Amino acid sequence: MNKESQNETIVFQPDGTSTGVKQKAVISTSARLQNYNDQLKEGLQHGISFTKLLDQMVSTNDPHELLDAASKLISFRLNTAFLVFPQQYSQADFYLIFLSRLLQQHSSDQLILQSSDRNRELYHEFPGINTAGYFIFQIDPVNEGGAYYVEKQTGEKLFYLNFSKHILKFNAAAITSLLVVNYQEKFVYSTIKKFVLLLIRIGDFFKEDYGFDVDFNILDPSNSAVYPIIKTDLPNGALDKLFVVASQAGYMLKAGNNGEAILELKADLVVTFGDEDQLIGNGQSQWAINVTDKEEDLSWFDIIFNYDFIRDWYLNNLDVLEIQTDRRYFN
Amino acid sequence: MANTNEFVLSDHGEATAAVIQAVVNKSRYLQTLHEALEDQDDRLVYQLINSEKYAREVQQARHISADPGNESLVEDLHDQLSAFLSQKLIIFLRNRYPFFYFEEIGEGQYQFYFGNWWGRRLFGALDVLNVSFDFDEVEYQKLARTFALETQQKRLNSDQIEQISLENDKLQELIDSQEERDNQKAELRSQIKQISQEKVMPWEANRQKEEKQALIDKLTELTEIDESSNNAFQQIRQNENRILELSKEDTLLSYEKQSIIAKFGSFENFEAQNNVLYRDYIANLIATRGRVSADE
Repeated sequence: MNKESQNETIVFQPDGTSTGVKQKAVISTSARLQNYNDQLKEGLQHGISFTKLLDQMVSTNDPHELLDAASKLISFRLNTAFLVFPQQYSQADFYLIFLSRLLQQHSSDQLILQSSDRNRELYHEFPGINTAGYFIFQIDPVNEGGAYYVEKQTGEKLFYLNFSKHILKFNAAAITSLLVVNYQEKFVYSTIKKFVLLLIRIGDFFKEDYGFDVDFNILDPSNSAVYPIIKTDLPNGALDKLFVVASQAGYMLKAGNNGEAILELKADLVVTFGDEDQLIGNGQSQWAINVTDKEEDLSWFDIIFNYDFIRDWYLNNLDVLEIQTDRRYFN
Repeated sequence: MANTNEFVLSDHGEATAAVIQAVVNKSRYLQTLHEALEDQDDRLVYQLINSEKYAREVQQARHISADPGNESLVEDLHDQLSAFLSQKLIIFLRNRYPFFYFEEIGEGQYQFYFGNWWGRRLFGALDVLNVSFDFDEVEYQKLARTFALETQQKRLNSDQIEQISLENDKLQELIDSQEERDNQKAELRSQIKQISQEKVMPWEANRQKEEKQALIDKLTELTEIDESSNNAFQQIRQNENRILELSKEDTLLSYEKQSIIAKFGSFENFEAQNNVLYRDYIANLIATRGRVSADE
């Protein structure tokens, strides 16, 4: 405000304009007050529009209004030069609130939104696994509108969400290390499966409500899902190892007619290893894994969670076998 | 006027009759074969293309009066005959040897794999005309040896795997004991340094020199161990790959063994069956009147 009172000389041009010269008006005390008042009003108005968005986010039953409110709130700068609101939610909090509301709209109350007074943050917890940790969003520092859904204790990024790009991508590496390696020791399968089913529902909501491009990765239970590994070509050595450990576990790794490897775990549950063309006939030579079950409700996640010998084999050979994740968002 | 100086030649009429008879013979042979093929009579085809084998193995004749001359007429058709005969034969074999998987690699040419499991071995070729297996000698011997080792509760590669595992344990020890060696070396170096700096009487110089040399020798020895320890990682990795290969082979052999036991009870029965396969197959063709079916 001080600056504004230090007026520079105004040069009036013969044609009555003052082009090219930064113009500062001389203002009186009352004008100054008026200006201040206007700025305050503007700030308050700005605040009111914020509360309207918040109302919309908290009470709407329309998914699109919800997304609209959330997107705007995430980029909303509530403070102005004249008005500062001391109690504010962070950008990450709005992602959490949004997700809770989205689930609420679909009558799902499995994820519980909690607030921690100590850490002054919101977080999600999932009954059953809340003894082992809780979930928050972390803002993507690179891409606008993006945030990671993160388990706070381990820092594992379960999925990436971006409102601007309309994408939701699950992260195979984090799902493996958190849900499989870490939780497998602490919880029974049915508990983790409930959580996984919720994650899948979340993906489905984004797909169905908003038409997002959703990559379920190793959680995808569809029989036509193929999980591409990081190596392009056939890892024969790794399959030889699987052949040996499967035999020790009482299973036979079989040779398919087209050179793929087939592991029948029980009737109606078959895991196939081969290039994509062998698996789904799409002409691609990228090497991948496929899980086929009668009900189409099992994925690679379920396999490595439940079958010790496959999990050990997979974890011991991650250098060739790790399921690909989108490198643009996960490194 | 007849020239009396000429030799007497055989009678043309006889020659004509003889050659016609020979051609008729061959023609009849071919006619019979033709009909057998038309009738899908595999048994007769087998008899016609190798009457001697047929007489010996099927009829168990003592004096074989076969005429192989006609059989050479179709020698250049062996691949085609093999292709013809393979259909019923392979259906029969799939039933008798459910663990053999036949692959066609050319007209009438078949090779077979043992099992449908990952890494299954190519086990040999099928000789359709003789109804026999030409086993891959190396692979066959491994299997035979696996059965022989059964009484010792051992697998073919058990000893080798154990030996390599022991070697790996030793190599791992070398790596693990690096720190200990480093400490020993530091100690030796300081001792050597100490001795070098010691002033001794001339008559003690020799003893001092010997002591120093002993320490240097010990140091050299440790350094040599260090060097082999440096290569240990790579050696361990190589050994692990070797163990994998051997375990894989043992796993394959155990599946093969199980398959044979499940179908034949023992390796001896399996071999005995192989030896009478021709006779068995012809008998089967006779019994089923050539109607070999997969669900026999």
